[in-house]
Order: sequence, then structure tokens, then C-alpha cells
Amino acid sequence: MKHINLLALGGLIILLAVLFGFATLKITGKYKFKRESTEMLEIVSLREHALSIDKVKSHSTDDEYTLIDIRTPKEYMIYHISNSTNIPFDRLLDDDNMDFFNSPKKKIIYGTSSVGANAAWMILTQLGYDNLFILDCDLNDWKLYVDEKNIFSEPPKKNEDPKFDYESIIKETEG
Amino acid sequence: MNTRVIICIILISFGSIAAILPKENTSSIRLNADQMLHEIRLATNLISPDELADLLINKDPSILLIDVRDSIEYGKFHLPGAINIPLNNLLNDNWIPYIDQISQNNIFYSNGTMLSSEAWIITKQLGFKNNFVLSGGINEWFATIIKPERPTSMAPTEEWALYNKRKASGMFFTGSKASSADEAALSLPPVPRKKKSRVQGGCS
Repeated sequence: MKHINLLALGGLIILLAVLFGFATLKITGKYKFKRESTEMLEIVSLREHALSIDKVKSHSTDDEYTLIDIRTPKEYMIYHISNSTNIPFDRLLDDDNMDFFNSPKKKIIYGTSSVGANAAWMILTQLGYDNLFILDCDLNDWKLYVDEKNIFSEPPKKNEDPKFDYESIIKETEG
Repeated sequence: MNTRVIICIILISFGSIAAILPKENTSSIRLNADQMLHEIRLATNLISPDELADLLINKDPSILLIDVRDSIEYGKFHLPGAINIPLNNLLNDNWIPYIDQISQNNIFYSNGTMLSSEAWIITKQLGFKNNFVLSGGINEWFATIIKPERPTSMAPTEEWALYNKRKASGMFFTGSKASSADEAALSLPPVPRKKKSRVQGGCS
């Protein structure tokens, strides 16, 4: 009788310890977002994170800034902005990258287009990292505008800039 | 000591430790960073302008277009039937019933894909379902549907078929009649018919 009691007691303790472990594990998840959705919405509404091509160009030689390429290693190998580091999007949350994002240096993220870079920015910012920005143009535009000094009549447009005069086109085509 | 007493002591001590632990997950966020990264990589939330045109022409009653730009931009131009929820008001109480529901499919759009993706990421991590993003936004809508680029005369049949379809969709949305030049393009059989391609898949 005594023996069975002890066995039951041991089983209970182990069960509770496991449950307890699970409960505390959830609290300290490394992927847990630190910023609430409402706070995140306030930050994106400021629209301070999306830098124009000219701004990034002036920062690209600045020691205070570092560029992060989130495309695949192959794409990076074929072409990348000089002085940039390659952190592919699917390895964004690897442990060894986290120290890098923690450093006080300002970081400008770029990808094939600004949309991918923006997604990476959203995730990192919400994890609580600061000093992050994105290059708001297609990488191809950077290549033509900055590297090959192609004559654009004006700097390439940002992703959210209207590329057409919607109103007048609609008026033109109506009727 | 009685075994029951020991069990009681253990239970009470575990209970009291659990009670003094920080309150677990008061956050409304349902997805963690790793899950969010995975969702973004899947890109199953993106709707192309061609897909949207089909949905609108077929008058699909289950879709609701949501313009996340500010009210001034919305006032100047917006897609047919769209409602306006400026991004900074997205989580206002009066809009929550629109974005957190299971009866319809919302399509967020903006000039490009950035604002709309931000709206999608924020609603996705809150666990809201049935929200999508118009890939390329109004810019891509104009580039492909309203003002589609005319293929070269050497372009393959498929390209011409797509152009004609887009042109017809564009007319549907602008209410314009085809100009004579476009009518010529519509009736133009550009290249000889290609041989029927073999059916893909199956056993061979």
C-alpha cells in the first residue's frame, strides 16, 4: 500500500513539473512579439522607416549605417549593393543574427522590391529591435540609378507613390 | 507523515508559484515571429489584378475591397465598390467587425503593396481570417487592367489573348468604347494557331 502511494506521488510530481515547464516556456518564447499591434500601427503610420533612394544613397557611405540584403545568397552573389550584408529572409530569425540586430548601428534593409524588405522590417520592429529602415525602391532601380548612373528624369518612385494620374486617366477613358 | 498531507503541500506550493508568475499572455497577438515569417513566405494572401478583375466582373458577392490610404486619396480615386479604412484607423472599434469576421473576403489595397501588406500583417497576427492583399495595388491595376501594354505583333497568341482580355476588362471598369485602333487589335489574328499542347500530368 505504502509503495503504491509513493509511486502515485512521484507520478503526480513529474506531471506537475512538466505542466509547469510548458506554462513558463510560453512566456519566454524567443519569437514572441514585444510590441502590441496598436503600437505597431502607430509606428507604421509615422512612415519614417521607408527611405527614398536618394536618402539611402547618401547614407550608403556613412559609417553609422549598414545595409542588409534579404534576398537569397545566390541573388546576393550575382549582384548586391556594395558594403551590404546578406541575411536571407528565411534565416532572418536565426540566433546568430539576433546579436547583429541588437547592435546600435542603424540598418537599412533592402530586397528585390521594397515590399519584402518591409515585411522583414515589420517582423524585426515588432520583436522590439530599433534603428531599422528600408530602402523604398526596387533594387533594379538602384542598379540603374546609382550604379549605372542611367539618366532618370527624376529619382525612381517609392512603392506607394502613384505611378499614374488615376483621376485623369479615368476621365479620359470614360464615355 | 500522511501521504495525503504531502500531496496537499506539493499542490499548494505549485499553485502559489503559478499564482505569482507574471500573467500569461495578456497580448492579443496570436502568431509569433516565426509563424508570421512563414505566412509571409507562403504569400497565399496575394491577389493579382487579373484575379481581382475576374472577381469584380463576376460580381462575386463575397468580396469587399478595403482602401487603406487616407480619405483624400480615396476621394480622388478608388476601386469600384471599395470602402475606406485609413491604415492608422485600422484597429478602431467601428472597423473591427469588418476586418475580423468569417462571412466575406476582404481585399486590402493601396497605391503600391506596402500599406496594404502592413494592414494584412497586423490583422493576420491578431488571428483575423479572410483578409487578402491586391498585389501591386492601384499602380499595377492601372498598368495591367486600365492601360494594358500592347504586345508586339510578333508576340505569341497567349500574350495577345491576355491583352485582349485585359482590354475588355478595362472597358468594363471605365465604361469606355474601344477606339478604332483597339478594335483592329481585337480582331487581329496575330500569329497562326499553335498546335494544341498536350495535357499535362496523368500517367504516360
